[in-house]
Amino acid sequence: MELALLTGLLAAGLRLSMSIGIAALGEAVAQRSGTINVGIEGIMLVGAFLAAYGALTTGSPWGGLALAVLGGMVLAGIQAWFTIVLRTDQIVTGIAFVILGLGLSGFLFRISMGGAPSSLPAFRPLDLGPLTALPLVGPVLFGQNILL
Amino acid sequence: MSGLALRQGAILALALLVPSLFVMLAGKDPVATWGVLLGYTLGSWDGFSDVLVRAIPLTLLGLGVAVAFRGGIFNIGGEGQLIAGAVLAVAASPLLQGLGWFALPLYLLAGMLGGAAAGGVVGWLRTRYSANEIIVTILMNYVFLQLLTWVIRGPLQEPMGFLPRSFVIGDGLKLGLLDAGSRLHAGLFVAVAAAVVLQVFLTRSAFGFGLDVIGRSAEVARYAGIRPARLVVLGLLLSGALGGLAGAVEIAGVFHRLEDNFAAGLGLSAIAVALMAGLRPALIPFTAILFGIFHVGSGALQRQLSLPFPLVWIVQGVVILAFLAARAVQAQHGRRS
Repeated sequence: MELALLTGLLAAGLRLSMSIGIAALGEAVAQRSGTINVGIEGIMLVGAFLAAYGALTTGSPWGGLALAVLGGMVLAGIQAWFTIVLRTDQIVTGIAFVILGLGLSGFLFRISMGGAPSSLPAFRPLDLGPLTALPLVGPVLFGQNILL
Repeated sequence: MSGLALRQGAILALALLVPSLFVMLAGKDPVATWGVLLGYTLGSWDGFSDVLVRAIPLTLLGLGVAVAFRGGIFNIGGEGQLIAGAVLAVAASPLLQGLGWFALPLYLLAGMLGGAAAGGVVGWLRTRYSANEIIVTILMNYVFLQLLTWVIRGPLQEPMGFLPRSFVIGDGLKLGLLDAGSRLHAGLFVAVAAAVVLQVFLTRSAFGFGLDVIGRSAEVARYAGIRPARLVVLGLLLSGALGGLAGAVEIAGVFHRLEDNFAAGLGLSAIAVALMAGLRPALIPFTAILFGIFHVGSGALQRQLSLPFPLVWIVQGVVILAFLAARAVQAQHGRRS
């Protein structure tokens, strides 16, 4: 395989693994405390919407990140209140949050941004000078954005 | 008692208030919105017949969910099993030509076989390798979704080969319309019959009792001489078969061919339908109608008030949470008195 192609493939693979990786990290925390968070999909959807909305309104990807993290905590807080204080079934509650997240993200996206894709302020790839300039390893490991 | 009634009333009010807030956020009047939703779905035959059309697959799939959940088997793969049933039924449909009235039962049986196979695999993985059925069924949904995308672009594509959809099933395999002016089809009888049969079967048979016992405790079941592994596999076979039947009925009654996204959203809603019926088969058709009202009503709101359709998911999510909260409050009340 050509080097450029391989570099692109590995860099994209690593980049796309980030969202699942971070979510899996969160799920691992929940599972360690003996709870199962089935609603993570719904929270991720809402987080994605809030990140886009926050980035658009504040003009900075950091604003989007902050809003998404905050929103995720609020939703997870409500979910925890149901399962821990009200002692509802964790799996059923989780499914309710998947459905709710599907609705919140789809509905709010359509009323706030008209449901059309728009270009957003995004994180730039890092430039670590000589490290990024290395062949293959450079773009794959040192040319990613700061979240990775 | 009045304290309990008061708190449950508050939960109900909150369940109505939260979706109303989102309606107001979109700049619409919530009272008018609820009026349109109920007026169209319950006040017009056009609307109500569509509610019943939606309730048919939700009932069948919800029954499948109930069978599994009663045994403590969390089968989240209803949508995948529905697709598996629909694909196998449509694939078998050309072989059934010229069999007369006998073709339709065989077609529905093919659907049940497809779904049962999809469910049975999960049962085998769980009992043989103690795989977690929640994860397996969630992942299998994607497998069957991809299977559908492939077959309607490959082996089962329409003869013209233009659009990503299958050929039309034979006329003898279509479920007849009950009323020429609406989309309501004979699958209604299949759904009602399935609910009645399952209610009797799950509450009167040894299998149903065994399922309830393993749902509460596998230890107790073993002590009582019930073999959980066999029941888990049988439960998932039956659960999958009902999902597959839902798929075959949906194709025979509404779509008449396989298409992308024909099952979109049914899997999640069916879980909610089964849970809100307390996993009691006789109640499932009614909760299916409730979720049918949300679905058809949201369509009407989008057409008449241009409210975005995902509102339906907000309403559904809030309704499930309200239901859970009401039950939790009741349980707390029971403990105290």
